Amino acid sequence: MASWQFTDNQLDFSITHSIAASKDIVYQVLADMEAYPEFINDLISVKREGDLYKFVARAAILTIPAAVTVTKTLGHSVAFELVDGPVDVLTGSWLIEDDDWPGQTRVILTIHVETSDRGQWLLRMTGKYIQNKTDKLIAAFSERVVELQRTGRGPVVPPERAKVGGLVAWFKSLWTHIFGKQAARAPTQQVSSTKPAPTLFRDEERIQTLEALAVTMLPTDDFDEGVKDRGFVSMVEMRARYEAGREQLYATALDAVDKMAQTMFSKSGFVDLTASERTTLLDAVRQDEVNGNIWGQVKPSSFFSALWEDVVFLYCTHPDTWECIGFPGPSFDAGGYQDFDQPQEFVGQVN
Amino acid sequence: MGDMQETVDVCIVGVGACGGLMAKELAEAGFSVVGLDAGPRYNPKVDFENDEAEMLKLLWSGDRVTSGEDPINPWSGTGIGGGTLVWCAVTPRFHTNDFKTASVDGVGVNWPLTYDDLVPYYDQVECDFGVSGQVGENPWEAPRGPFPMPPLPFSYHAQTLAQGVKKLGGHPLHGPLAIASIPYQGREACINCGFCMQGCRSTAKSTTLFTHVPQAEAKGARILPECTVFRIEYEAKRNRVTGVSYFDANGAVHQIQARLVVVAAHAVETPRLLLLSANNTFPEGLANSSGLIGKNFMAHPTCTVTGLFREPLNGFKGPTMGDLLVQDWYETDGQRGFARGYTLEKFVPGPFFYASNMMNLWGADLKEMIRYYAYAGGWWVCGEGLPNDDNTVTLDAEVKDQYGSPVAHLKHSWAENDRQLIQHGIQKAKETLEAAGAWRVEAGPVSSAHPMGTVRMGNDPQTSVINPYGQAHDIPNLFVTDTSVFPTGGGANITLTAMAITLRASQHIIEQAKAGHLN
Repeated sequence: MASWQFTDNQLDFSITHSIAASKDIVYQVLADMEAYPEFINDLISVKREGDLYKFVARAAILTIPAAVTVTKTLGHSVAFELVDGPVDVLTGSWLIEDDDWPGQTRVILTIHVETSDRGQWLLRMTGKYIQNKTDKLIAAFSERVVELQRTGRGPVVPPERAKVGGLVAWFKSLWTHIFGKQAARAPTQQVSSTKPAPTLFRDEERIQTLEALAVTMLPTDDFDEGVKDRGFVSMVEMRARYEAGREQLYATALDAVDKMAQTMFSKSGFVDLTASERTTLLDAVRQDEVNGNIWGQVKPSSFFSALWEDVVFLYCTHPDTWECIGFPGPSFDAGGYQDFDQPQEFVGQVN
Repeated sequence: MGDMQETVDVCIVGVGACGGLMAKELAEAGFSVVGLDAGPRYNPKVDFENDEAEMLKLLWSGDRVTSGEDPINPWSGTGIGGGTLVWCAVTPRFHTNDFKTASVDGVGVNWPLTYDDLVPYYDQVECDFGVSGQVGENPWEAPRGPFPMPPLPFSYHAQTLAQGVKKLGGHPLHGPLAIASIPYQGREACINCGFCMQGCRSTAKSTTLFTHVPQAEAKGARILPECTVFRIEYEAKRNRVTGVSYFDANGAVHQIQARLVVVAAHAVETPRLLLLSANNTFPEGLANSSGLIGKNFMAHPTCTVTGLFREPLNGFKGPTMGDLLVQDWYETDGQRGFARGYTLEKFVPGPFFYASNMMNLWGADLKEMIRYYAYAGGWWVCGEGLPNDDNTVTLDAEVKDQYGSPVAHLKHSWAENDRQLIQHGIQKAKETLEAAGAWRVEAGPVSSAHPMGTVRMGNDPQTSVINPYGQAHDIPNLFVTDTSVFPTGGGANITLTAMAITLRASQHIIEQAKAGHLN
C-alpha cells in the first residue's frame, strides 16, 4: 500500500479487473447507476435528474450528497465528473474491453481527485476510502453481473469458459500516484447544492485559532505532534458541511474564545496566549465557568465536547497515530493474530 | 415494492437478535413470515471493514432526546442482524436469583418465570447460535450442561488481568461468547483480529444475519431491509392488530396485512412504536391499558476502567470483550451497602473507542493514555440497574424524525443503589488492575448499556403489558419479544436471555396458532 504524501493536493488511482461475462452485460450493470444502491450498501440513493445523477452516500460518520454528470459510450465506457460534492475535483471512468481470455471482459476504473490546499485529511481519507472500498466495489459489481447472468437476463458464458480462472478471475493491477501540484480544474457545470462548503474555514485567522484549540486539547509533546499538521481543519470543515448546527457551533466558539482571551488575560485573541493560558481558558470552557454572554445560546461545555470528539476522532483514526502507538490497523486480511495469547512485543515507532 | 395484497401470517418488526430468531422459528413451523428492519442488509464480505470510523454506520443514529439527572442513550444496532452486527457477543446466562430479586434481595420485581423455565431454551439457542465457554469454573452460575464449543483461550491481555484477579482471591472465568472457537456448523473459527465491534468479516462471531435470517428465508420468509414501520394497524371491532404501515427506502408508504404482529425493535424503538400506534381504543399507546409502556426504562450502569502496564499487552488482539469475566461481586452481599452486583469484562477496543471511553480526561492526561495504548489493559464494569418507573421512554413533544414522527425521549436518573453499585465495581476493577501490575489506572465516566424494561412482562394485566410468552394482555395477536420485556436486568449482558425468552415465545405462538386461539 502506498504511503501518502501531504505536500500535494491530488491523487490518481486505477484498478483493473476481469469478469467472466460478456461486455454487454458488464456495461449494462456499470451504466445503470440508479440501480447501484441495490447492491452497494454505502450508497443510500442515486437519482437521475436530466443529465445529472444525484448520489447520497455513507462515508464513516457522514452522509454525503453529491452530483455527477455522466457520459456513456454504449458498450465501451461510463465516464463521470463531480459537479457538486465534498472534494474540489473528482473525475473518473469505467472502461470496458474484451479480455485476453475468451468470454471475459476487462474493466478499468480510474479516478482523479483534487482537494484544496488544506485538504490533507480529506485527501488521505478519500484515498483510504477508495483503497478499502475499491476491491469490495469490484466484488459487488462482479456479483451483480454474475447474478444477472444466472437469472437469464443477459448472455450466458458457457460453463467451461466460466471455469477459466475461476468464476470471477482476479486479474488486477493496482497503482496509486501522487503527482505534483497542478492547477485545479473548475467544475464544468455549476449546480446549486443544499450542502455548500462552510465559509468559516476560509478565514485564515479563525483557522489559526481552531488549530490552536486542537493543539490545546491534545498537546504536542516528545511523543508526537498530536493533530498538528494532520488536517484537523479540513476534517472539521467536512463535518460542518454535512452535519447540521456544527458550523454555527464552531463560529460561536471561535469568536468566544478570542473574547475570553481578552477578558481573562488582556490579550487580543486565543492564539496570543501562552500554552498554559490556553489550557486555563479551555478548562474554563469545559466547566462552563464563563462570565457574560459571549457564548450566546451555546453552552460552552457543549463546544468542549464537540472539540474533544473531533480531535480524538482525527487523532485515533489516523494511520500516522497508529504507527506511533503500535496499533497495526486492519488485521483480518492478514489472517488475524496467531500470537494473541503469547507475550507481546511493541510494534510502534516511539516507546 | 407495492402493498402486499395477501395477508401474511406474521409480520415481525425489527430483525435483530430476537426478530431474526422469531422469523426462523415461525417460518420453519410453516407460517408465512415478513420481517422488516429500518436499516440495510449488509454483506459482511463487501460492506465490513477493520475500521472504527467506517463502521460507525452500524449503530442506530436516529435522533433521540435525553433528559433526567443522568441522561443516557445506550447503543442500539440497526440493519438486518441489528445489534448482533456490532456486539461483542458476550452471552452469559442469567443467574437463578436474577429472576427473583424482590424475593431474594427486596429490590426490583420478580419475573413471572424462573431460570428453570428457560433452561431448555438457553440450551437450544446456545446450540443453534453457537456459544463457546467453560462449565464448572463459575461458583455462582446456574446449573447447566456443557457448552456447544470449548472456550476461546485467554488472550495475553486477559492472562495478565487474570493474575490480578487471582491475587485478590477472585475467580477468573472464561466468558461465554457467541464466537466460534472451533469450526462450527460450517462457520469459521475466530482469528482474533480484534474488530468484533466493527462487524465480523468472517462467520466466527454469531449474528442472525447469517444464521437465523437465511434459515428463515429458506422456508419462505421475506426479510425487507430499509423499511421503517411507523404504525401498527388495529381493528377495534375484533380487538386485533391487522398489520403494519411502513416507509420504504424512498419514503413511500406501504401496508402489510398480517394475522399476528411481533415487535422486536429493542427497548427504545419498541415502546416508541407502540406509543405511535395509539388510537381511539388505546389513546395512551397500543395495548397500554396498564399505562406501563415506556416506563421502567432500565439500563446497566457501566464504566470502562483502564490500566497502563510496563509491558505491551496489545489488547487489540483477541476478542474485543469478555474472553475473561469476573463475577465474584455479582450476587448480593448486604455488607457492601447495596443490593445486586456486577460483572467485570476484559475490554480493550480499537484506539478510537478506547479513547472515547475517557471523556473525563483531556490534554496531557489523555495524551498519555493514548500514547500507551499498546500497554493498556482494561475492564468494562457492567452492573445491574434497578427498575424505576420515573425512568421513561416517551414521544418527544418537539423533535420529529425525517418522516415527521416524534422521536423517542429518554428520561433517566440512576438510583442510589445503582450509584453505589457501579462505584464498588470501579473500585474492584482498579484494585485488580493494580494487583496485575498497572502503574496508572483511570476510570472513565459512568455510562450505560443494554436498554430494557419498557414493555414489562408479568401475569397481572394491571402491572404488566405482556404475559410470560410475550403476548399483549390487551390484544391477543400482538407480541413483544425483545429486552423491553425484562422486569429486571441482571448484572451482565442480556442478549442470550432475550433470545431464550423469544424462543419460548415462538413455541407458544406456534401452539396457540395451531389451536386456533390467535385468530
